[in-house]
Amino acid sequence: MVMFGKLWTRYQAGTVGTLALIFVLAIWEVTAALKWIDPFFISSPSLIAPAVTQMWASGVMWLDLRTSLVELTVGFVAAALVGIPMGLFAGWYRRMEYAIDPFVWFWYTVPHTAFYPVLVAWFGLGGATIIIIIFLFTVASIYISAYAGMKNVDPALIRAARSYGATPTVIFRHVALPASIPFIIAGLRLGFGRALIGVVVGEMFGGMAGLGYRLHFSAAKLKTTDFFASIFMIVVLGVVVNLLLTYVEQRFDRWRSA
Amino acid sequence: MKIILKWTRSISPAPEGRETMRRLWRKNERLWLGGLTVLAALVLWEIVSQLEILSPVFISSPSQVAEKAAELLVDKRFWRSHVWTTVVEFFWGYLSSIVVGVPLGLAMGRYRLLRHILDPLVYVGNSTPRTALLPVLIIWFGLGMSSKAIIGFLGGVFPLIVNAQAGITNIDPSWLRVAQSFGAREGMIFRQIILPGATPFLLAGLRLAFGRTFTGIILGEMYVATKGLGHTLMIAGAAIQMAEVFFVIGVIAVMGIGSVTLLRKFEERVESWRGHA
Repeated sequence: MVMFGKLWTRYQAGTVGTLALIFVLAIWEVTAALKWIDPFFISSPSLIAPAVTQMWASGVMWLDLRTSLVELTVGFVAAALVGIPMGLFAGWYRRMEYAIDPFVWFWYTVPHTAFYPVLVAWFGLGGATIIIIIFLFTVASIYISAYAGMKNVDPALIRAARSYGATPTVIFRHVALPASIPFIIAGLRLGFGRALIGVVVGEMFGGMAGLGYRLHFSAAKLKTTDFFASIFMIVVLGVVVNLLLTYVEQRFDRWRSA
Repeated sequence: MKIILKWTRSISPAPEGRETMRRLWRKNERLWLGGLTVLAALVLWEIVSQLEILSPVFISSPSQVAEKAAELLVDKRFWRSHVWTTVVEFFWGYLSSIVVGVPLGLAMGRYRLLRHILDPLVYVGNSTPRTALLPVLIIWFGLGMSSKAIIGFLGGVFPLIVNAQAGITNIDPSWLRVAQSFGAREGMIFRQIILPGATPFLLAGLRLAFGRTFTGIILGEMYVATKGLGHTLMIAGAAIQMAEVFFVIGVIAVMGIGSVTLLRKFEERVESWRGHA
């Protein structure tokens, strides 16, 4: 009996949590089956699961996923290529930080979606605009994380390097840069979340393919089942990449503490 | 060249004046540099538009935006229909997210079983892009203000739950033990120790939730609406009325910045008792 008690405390979080999820799914199914709420509006897990498999089988899901992934990768990589150097330099050179601060602040405060009409007017509907939207959504987070990484370099390390006669360039490359990497990785993980939102928003408003587009399309045709199937895929995508990036983050952390 | 140099020397301040200027510059370097770059950007914008390097139809210009601003700022319909709609939607969304999120988060922090039950649900809710739920929310709640308020609610409630929970779990347990050893009851512990101890997290949550709620409202209005700032934005954009578009973006920016400042003032007042370590 004591053995069970020990097992329970160890796995309490996991079991209770999973039970809760199952419970919610069950309530959903029952509500739809007993028609307490019209299943037209809320669909049900028993309808969604086959819909997901069917969308995969017909290849539609793969096409959408591929489109979204391509847009995500291009936008995200571009944001990283711009945001990381800018953040690092802004953290290192105070003048540069002061100069771009108002723009960063403005960018961070205004909801990025508000710029969507501007982007469509300039670049039209389609893939390029979506990639730009993803870029704009992500770049601020990455910039701020890189900046924070540079600002948080242990000053003792810098003093030690300087006392050995290192020039600022050397300090930047061999002390400050490696010290900022954990922050940068964390920023990339946060940035990806925003990129995901960006791709969904972009495709919902003006896309012609991709997961967000599928979302909007199903809803416009009042096909709630397909809609929830798409949401499920988006959530899975988000969780998978998040786990991947967390793993990368932890690997880097191990290198650092060692 | 020599004449120009002579002229600049005659109008430049005396040595003491130059010292004061240098000191003023150094003290407020952040403001100067920031202001200068913004000014330079605005001037560049105007020039590019006037010289038609890029078509002014598509990029507008500071002067055109100012004109449009003057026109719309006195337009009663703009204020009553659109600005007010957005404000009301935001108010209800934010308020409801606080009323639901904070107590829930506090309870989850306090009672372990509840936390274990609700954690995965909160995690799923937090990682789903809210925007993905927009279409179905419109189907469920219609085109009106309530669907936007609900999007705002969904945006704000999750950061509040997570932060309120973190506020509780991060309280130094030794404080609780001291209070208990002095015989304090649950209610008093909550009011005097837990609540003040959790406030930094709660305030951070309020700030985060504000941004998310606001973004959600604007997004919802842009997607499908009949009134509101986001709606105005989309209509103006579709008609390529870029001056109006930039003006509305400006209004949104001012609303955002104004509220951030208000929040910060509120934060300072609430945290004023807390000394600096």
